[in-house]
Amino acid sequence: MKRSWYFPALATAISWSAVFSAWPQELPPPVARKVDFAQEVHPILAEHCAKCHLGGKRKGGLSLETREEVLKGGEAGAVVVPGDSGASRLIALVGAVNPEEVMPPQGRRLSAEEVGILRAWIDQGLAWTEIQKEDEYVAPLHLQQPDAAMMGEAGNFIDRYLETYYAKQGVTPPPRVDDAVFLRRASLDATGLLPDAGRLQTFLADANAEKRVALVDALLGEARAYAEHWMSFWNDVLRNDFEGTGYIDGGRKQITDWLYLALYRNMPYDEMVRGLIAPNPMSEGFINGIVWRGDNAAVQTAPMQAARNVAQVFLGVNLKCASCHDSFIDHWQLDDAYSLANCFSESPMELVRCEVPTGRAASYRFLWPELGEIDATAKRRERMAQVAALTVSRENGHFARTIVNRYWALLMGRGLVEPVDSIEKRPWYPELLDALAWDFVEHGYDLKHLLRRIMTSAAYGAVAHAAPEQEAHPYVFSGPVVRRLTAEQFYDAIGQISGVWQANPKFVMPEDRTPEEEQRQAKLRQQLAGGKNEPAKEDYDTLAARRAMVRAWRVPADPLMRAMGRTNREQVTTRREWAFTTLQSLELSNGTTLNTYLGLAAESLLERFAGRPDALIEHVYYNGLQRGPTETEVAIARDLLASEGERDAVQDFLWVVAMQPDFALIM
Amino acid sequence: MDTPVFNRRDFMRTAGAATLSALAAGAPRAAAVPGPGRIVPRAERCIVLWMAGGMAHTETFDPKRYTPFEPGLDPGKVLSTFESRPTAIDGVRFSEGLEKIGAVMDRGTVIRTYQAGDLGFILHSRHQYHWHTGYAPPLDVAAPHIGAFIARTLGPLNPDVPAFIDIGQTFNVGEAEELKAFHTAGFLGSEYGPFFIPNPEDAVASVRPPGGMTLGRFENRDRAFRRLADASPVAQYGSNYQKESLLRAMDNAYRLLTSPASKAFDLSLEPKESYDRYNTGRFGLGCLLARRLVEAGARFIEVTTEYEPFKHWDTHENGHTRMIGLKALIDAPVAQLVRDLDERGLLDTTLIVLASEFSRDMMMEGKPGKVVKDQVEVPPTMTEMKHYGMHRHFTGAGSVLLFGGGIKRGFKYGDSADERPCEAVNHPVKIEDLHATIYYALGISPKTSYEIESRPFYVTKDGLGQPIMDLFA
Repeated sequence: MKRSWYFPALATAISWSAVFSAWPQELPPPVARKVDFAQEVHPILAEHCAKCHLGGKRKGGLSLETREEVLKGGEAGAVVVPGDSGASRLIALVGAVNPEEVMPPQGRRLSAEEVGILRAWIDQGLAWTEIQKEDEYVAPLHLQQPDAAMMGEAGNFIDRYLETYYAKQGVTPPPRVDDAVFLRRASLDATGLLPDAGRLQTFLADANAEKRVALVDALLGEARAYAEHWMSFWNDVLRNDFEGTGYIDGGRKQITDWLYLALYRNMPYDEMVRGLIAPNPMSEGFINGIVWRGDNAAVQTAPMQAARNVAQVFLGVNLKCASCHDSFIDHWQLDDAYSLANCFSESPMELVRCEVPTGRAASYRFLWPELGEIDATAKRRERMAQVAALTVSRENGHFARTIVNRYWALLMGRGLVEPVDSIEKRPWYPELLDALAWDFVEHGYDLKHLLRRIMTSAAYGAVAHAAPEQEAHPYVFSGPVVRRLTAEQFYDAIGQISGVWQANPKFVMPEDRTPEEEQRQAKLRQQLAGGKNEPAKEDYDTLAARRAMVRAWRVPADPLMRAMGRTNREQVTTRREWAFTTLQSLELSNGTTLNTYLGLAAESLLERFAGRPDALIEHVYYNGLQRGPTETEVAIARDLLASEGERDAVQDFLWVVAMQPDFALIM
Repeated sequence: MDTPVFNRRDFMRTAGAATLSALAAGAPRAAAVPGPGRIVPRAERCIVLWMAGGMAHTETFDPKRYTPFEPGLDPGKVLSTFESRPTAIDGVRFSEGLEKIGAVMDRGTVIRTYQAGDLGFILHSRHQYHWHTGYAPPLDVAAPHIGAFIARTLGPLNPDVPAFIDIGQTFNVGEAEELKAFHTAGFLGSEYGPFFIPNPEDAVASVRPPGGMTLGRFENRDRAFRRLADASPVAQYGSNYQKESLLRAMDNAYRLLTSPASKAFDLSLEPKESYDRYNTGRFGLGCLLARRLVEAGARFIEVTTEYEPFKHWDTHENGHTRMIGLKALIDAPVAQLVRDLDERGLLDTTLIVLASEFSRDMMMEGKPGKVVKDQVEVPPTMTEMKHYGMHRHFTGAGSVLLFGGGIKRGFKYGDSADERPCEAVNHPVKIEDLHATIYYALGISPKTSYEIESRPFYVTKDGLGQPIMDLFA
């Protein structure tokens, strides 16, 4: 049945003239497609109805909070007839059938399309998405104690678990990878650096059956190299950087010194997180967030940032939806986000739903109240300490799960749970996740122990496979995934091969903070500046300025680093972009950053290898690819090195090697 | 460092992001992109001409009563420091010095009621962020620049020309970090980010081998790379997929140098007479480069007068005198761009938008009735010429010009008050509606969203932008 709706001809024409042209002469038809509640319907309700009918408001007795309440209607009776939008009062109201009775009474009227969407929604049976229920699994709060027999004393429990898994899934376990490939992989994962030719030779010659374990221990024992490598990951996750928004007027603070020392000393992870959530002046930058000058939306105030970041980074819970309204995609609610944020707030907070104040005061509550209470009468500092204690509590399984899953994902290329920021989702192997988490807790939240556990497993030491373009559902684990060098690893690898590093670091290593070193640096700067006050960036493009081992994480990102995925740290980033893009290739093949770098690297290598092309080729292969060149490769390299201009030839040779897949990939 | 992010980017859409892992955490996928045909595109491409620093509407496209300078003048009496001149639109006058743009207004629309976001304490880069993304920072999802949304949704017009080109901004200026924060594709991924051309005269460098390398050497290097890749024993590890995607990316990078479209980057190929018509400086040449790139198949281009604190349009003092130079900077090239595109039959399918982050006033700061901290000082009486001009940040009204892309020709939209506060008196235009209008012209629904972390992120804030249909012919 199609009904036409006409305006009364004598509607108060003058006062309504402004809106008249926008008004339909006829009630718009339902849109001719299946509408999606979360994508299409809810935004309309949120925009036009929220003020009076959402977030606890029930003007005229009507709440649109749940499907039941919509069906119940208001004081004046039902507002919808499921399956018949034409007979639904809600549609008559928003469609402005009677100009005297229009919803919303103020503000922008619904467009014809919006009315059409609501009509289709009603006609299609008023579908309502509370939670996308593709999977009912919600991770238990507590860790499941692993089977003692599985954990065992000998060997690595990861492999015992996987043995069962492979058998059940019918997966052939991947074979053990070559020693050279393992050495390269393990070095990059533990320290971010390549093993040099000497280490390669020693490792290959070692007949000890346990040499991989010994290697992992040795690598993790290199405190400085380890800390420097892991700074990049933690800077991403804690959005800490030397430059960025907010610093301009004190709206942001670095935690670099604190973080470096925490990693260098291998601070237990629970202690580290306590130090970030209930911080001292050295570590408060994370909780303080990024504050821009001016008025901020309620959802972006510093306490809300703190709540979201604590939840995401340490607990694998995404509160981004719930900090504006009850989430449509999981069970987190506005109340949960505000109750946590309130703990970080100097003054009591009021709940704001979609930027509309609700008039309700936020409570003080942790995400899982069963873990313990927050004392609402306590001062902010004490409340933060309480949040910290509940976050790292042994009873809180999500805390350990989240970090072991992140490390697994970093080392193996794919998490036990994905996305890595949704720890409540189903892991492909819940028992293994909890066993890893349990083991991590039992060993005093020792991050190096966690790395050692994973890196000494047969699973980690197996041949890696290429990531598929599209992951199969459900996911089946079949071994580690080939990964890419990070921007920092790529730069540092060139540094190792050539002895040319970055210049003008923004972080001074603690051991270099001596008057002598400072004097030396000041003198160098003076030389480079050549009469100016400060050297310009390009003044540092000399061998003299770039011989000290300054790794890439210590300098601000340049265009090439950005192209290769170094994050801008305005937001928390828990996984970098992995794609090979044409953009990167353009920057690599055509950009000045790498070109300049490799030019200097060529100069440096020529100091050692001038007139000895074969020695140069061997040096680059053994130190860069952890293998000798094949005869064919030597022939190609000789050809290239024989081209005009020695420096240019070496520069081009370095470029050609650096672009090789087996240089750029961690296999 | 001249450029913060990427100076060279994907020239081929076909290359795509050869995604190493399907996981690529939160790799955005289109959540609610309307099917083809839902909105008929009027424009195929868009050029934003950015008046960075806050362009006073009463000194440019919305002149008010003129009060000449004299020592002892009461600043409260001054609304405009220039006389006004007629334009091609009946009854619409522009400030003196914009006659050339005024003469092409028969091909475009002036909006006089743009109201910049009310973000409290006014910070240029924050308002620019808001203008360019539709969202006010800080944000916990990296918001894409409007150019990145367009690049992501429509792709390049010509696969050899980057879909999103940004001309004229350098990043070694004050507030550089804040500028970098929105000159990005954000969560959409670097594939859709801007291709930066800080200086149009050097644009050609971005399509040539690096550091003076000859093409012969470049080709030799590339050949050696391929021979070595073929000879590598790497394939034994079964990672052909990564290898292929890396090689494909290298192919695409290489193709750039030989593409005919690369000639568009070379301003030296422009006939001198035409070059001179545009050449009022970096901005003027940026407009010329934009025209050449549009002809070669660009999708989205922004040309900025460049933001630098207290420079260019950021007139905190000496406003009148500086305004003379600023108008001279933009008048000829903007008008020429409109004329050239029109003559080439490209204007109807190219939407040109000229805008600024907010306006300025002599007495008011922020939104009328609001108190803003740290206001620009205005003396009770003007004693020197440097006091004469619009020095405070004003958000009550601002001017936007639109040309082409189905926009009405010879049209004025909205009015601002003729007495202080010179704020919008009707048809206020907010950023989400201006964006919705731009998207709509390009055939993109303002409700288009991309999924990130399992939730939709809309091209206009929360999908609520409404195109201003009155602007379309």
